[in-house]
Amino acid sequence: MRTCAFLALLLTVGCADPVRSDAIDKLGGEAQGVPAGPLHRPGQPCVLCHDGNGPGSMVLLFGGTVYQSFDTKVPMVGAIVHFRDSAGKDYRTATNCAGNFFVVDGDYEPNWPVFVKVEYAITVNLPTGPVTQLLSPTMTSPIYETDGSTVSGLRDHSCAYCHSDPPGTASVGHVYTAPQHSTVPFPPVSCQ
Amino acid sequence: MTTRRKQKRGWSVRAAAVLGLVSTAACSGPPSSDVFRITTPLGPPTFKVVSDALAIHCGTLNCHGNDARNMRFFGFYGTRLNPKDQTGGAGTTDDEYEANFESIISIEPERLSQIVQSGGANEDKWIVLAKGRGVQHHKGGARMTHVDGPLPPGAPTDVLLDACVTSWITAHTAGSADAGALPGTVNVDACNRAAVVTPPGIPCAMAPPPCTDWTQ
Repeated sequence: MRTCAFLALLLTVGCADPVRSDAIDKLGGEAQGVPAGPLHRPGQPCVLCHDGNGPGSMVLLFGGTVYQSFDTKVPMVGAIVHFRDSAGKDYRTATNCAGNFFVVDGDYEPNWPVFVKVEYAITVNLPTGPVTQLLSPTMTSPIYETDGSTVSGLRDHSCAYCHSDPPGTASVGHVYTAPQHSTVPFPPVSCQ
Repeated sequence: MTTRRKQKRGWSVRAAAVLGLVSTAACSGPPSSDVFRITTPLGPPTFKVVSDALAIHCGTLNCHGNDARNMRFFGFYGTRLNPKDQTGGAGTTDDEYEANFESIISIEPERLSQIVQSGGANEDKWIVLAKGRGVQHHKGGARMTHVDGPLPPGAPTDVLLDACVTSWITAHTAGSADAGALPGTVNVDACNRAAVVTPPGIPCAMAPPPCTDWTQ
């Protein structure tokens, strides 16, 4: 009886991760009207909860949010997030109406490091006729493998760990499709 | 008091004295005249190529580009020194190269000094290489791979990075050829090649569609 109680106590203590709990608490609650799911918590570090050890039910390899441009926080809908591993194996996923994208663990088993870029083609009507413009901002640094622990934020596969706002001495700023002061006529955004 | 008790007491006093002496000796530091002087590998500007090679593999914000780490790399990929600079913005500055040099030579400086002075003896015992090669547990895994002798053609970046760093710490003394470096020099070629990490792909100009050029 005592042994069981002791084991139960050990398990409870072993499962509690104060660093993760603190990090998750700092993110705050869900936004009003947005239930937990693929549209929730844009701009937050997805893999902090969704690494298989956190409270998120779905296990993600990568997760992040793309915005239309450098200087706005309007979600980028329908952009392709294109991954390529060091063996040339590709994986593509699209952003949803919240700008969120994710790669489910097991769907892509890359050879590290992994390279990533965002791709979006838009047709612009010019006086001379329609012209298709391809936007494809590319991440300058590769993403390396970790030992699996994401809680400390080190080698986190959440894009938002490095791509948080505002950009500064220790952040690149959010992931975007068009550069600053862009006049690209993106279609209207709605999750309704 | 009996003779036996007196003897016992004498032993206790002596033991206490010895213990006191040992504790005092253990707690006292070296004499103030003993100053450790580090023998460093070459600093900037030579170090710049080494720093650039390390930065892209190790110095991103989520790893050693974070100023919470003991070994930290400032610059384009990591935290910036100047509050006006932004990660991913302007290139690494001279001040940042200097800070990176100071940071890396501060990791086990006594051991690094011995390695530099000896022209590379036991270089794998330096924690930077031990962790970088994955010999010691490293959260970021093995980022460097050591090969003996000349670098193989088309060597991958983990081999190039190892050759770069190893040549740097052995370059201080003459006759320390390692992995293709000229004796006593930093393997600049390996460093420059290690600093470029690109995904595989065939340029579209060289292959019929669907081409796999990452830049397209």
